[in-house]
Amino acid sequence: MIRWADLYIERLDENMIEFISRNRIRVVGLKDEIFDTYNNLLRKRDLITIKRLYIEDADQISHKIKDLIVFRPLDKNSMRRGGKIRLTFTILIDEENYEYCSDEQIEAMRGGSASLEILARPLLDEELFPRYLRYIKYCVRKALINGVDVILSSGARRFEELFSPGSMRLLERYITGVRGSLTYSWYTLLERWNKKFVEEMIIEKREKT
Amino acid sequence: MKKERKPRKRYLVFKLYTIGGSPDFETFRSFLDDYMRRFLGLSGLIDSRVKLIRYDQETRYGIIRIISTDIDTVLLAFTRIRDIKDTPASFIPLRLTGNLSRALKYIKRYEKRIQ
Repeated sequence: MIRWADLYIERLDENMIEFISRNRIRVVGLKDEIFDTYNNLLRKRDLITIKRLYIEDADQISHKIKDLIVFRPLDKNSMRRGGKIRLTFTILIDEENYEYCSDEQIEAMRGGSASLEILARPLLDEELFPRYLRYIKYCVRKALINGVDVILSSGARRFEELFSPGSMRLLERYITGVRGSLTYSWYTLLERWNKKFVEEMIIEKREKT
Repeated sequence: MKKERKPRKRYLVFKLYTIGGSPDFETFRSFLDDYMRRFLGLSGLIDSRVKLIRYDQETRYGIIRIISTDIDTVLLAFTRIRDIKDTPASFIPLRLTGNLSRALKYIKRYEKRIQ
């Protein structure tokens, strides 16, 4: 059974690869600029990789793009616009834009089919930690009530920023108050994005085990 | 009136992943004390009653005792551990059990896998 994923990693090094392959993280999403460099290496280590196309402008989001888009809005209006688009992709919430995730944003997202992708990386910043946690806690709970999918990714750029599957689970428990609500959201997201890919992923895993 | 939940002991089985050397029991215990004091504050530390029960420097598996009423906050603190005395480290929570014997059973199972 494929259980754990980290769907957005910004940079990789040897320590991070070693950590990922030892910790039952089976699906790894890599930012497009590092995908070609590390794809083969991770595949050799029995990991399933996904190319994440990083976009900052809502107008660039198109149905023609076959990769799983990660849209990082830089202002409130762009975030609202992105939320209304009917396409499977994720809206990245990080240290720069977490304040835009409000009731109105969730309301806008009800009409679209984007998911929220919350980065865990800012939680490691001592100063940002309390404020960021308070905001995402509110935002995630609101999203789940309104049927908007939420996934947690590390967004790691170095070893210290990676979260083990267990840590992700504990974070999820703290943020949502229940277990299992976010852990499997990434799976739903992938299934909506590319059902065939998920079916192949399951077959590949079954054959190996 | 809502009944207050009785505090119960819980045992967290974990693994420490470090780059470089692994800390010994005493170093890790003193680090945990300092870290929890910083995260929870003095009053929080009194209520949480966090205690390192076991830690094996070689296998890097260990058990921490926590109290059920403060479980979420204490576990959140563990997820943020990133270095132990300047050694890059990652805290990997594995199991949460209700009694020590079961936690030890899990540890034995994990250690067997390494051998």
